Amino acid sequence: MDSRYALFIWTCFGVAAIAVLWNVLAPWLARNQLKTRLSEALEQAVEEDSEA
Amino acid sequence: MSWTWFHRLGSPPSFFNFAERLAPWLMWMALALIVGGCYAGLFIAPKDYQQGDAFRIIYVHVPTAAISLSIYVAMAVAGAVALIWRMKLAEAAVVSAAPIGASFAAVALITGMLWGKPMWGAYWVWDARLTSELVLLFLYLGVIALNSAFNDARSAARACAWLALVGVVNVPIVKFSVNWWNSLHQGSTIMKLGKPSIGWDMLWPLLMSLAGFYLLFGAALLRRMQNELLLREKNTRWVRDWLGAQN
Repeated sequence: MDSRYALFIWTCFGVAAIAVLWNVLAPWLARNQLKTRLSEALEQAVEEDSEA
Repeated sequence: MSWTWFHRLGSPPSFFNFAERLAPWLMWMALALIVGGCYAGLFIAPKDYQQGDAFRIIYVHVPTAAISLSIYVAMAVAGAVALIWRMKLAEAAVVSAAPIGASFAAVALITGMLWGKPMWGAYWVWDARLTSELVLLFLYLGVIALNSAFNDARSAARACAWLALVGVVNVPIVKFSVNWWNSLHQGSTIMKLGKPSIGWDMLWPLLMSLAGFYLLFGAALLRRMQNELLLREKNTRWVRDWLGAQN
């Protein structure tokens, strides 16, 4: 690869790789957080119901 | 032909289960096509006779720019459906697509700037194509900001749908800016009337990468819509059943 352009080309592919990874990982991480949050809320609601 | 399968998909639990099965397939196919397309673009495609190796940037720049336009059109269609038929899935689609579109618009702008420096001698020029793509990024950011500005998810989605509908006027401006005004940016290479003005040995990695980015959008959209539905329907029985099955 032409050394004059190598830095620009690799930076472009690096930026694209970050965006691809973010699009893969962000919804997956958000799902895990949401699952934990909703499970805790559900458990709390069940406990409150049983106490009442 | 029976359309019951289609109507069933309009129900959040059916859609959730459908997305749960489809998203991993789309994701793996997307990653395979993107990695394959980029590898071929970097190491197999021949050098351009004018731009040399610098042209290889197109293997990420063109797909991200094209999909940033397509996503906004999809958001406007989903926005119209959300406003007319008040369909929950369409509302979820509008707000879920915006961060994906913003990420691709940002990549298109950054890679374009990185191509511009060695080719034009400047990272940025206030050219019609570049400026209208920047406006597109701001529209995506506007939808994201609007969505987080409301406490009620349905009101937020309706406001976002309006912005998606109004902002879609910018899409033909981005697409045809190179034809309507004198522009430093080159004209269409693939999506134009007639034969593409690029050789097949340079074109196939680009088509691979393009297909990969579209599939990635599909997978990411399904996943984000699932999350949106879980949040909106957290008090319904199907979400409780799903949570129970997960634990």
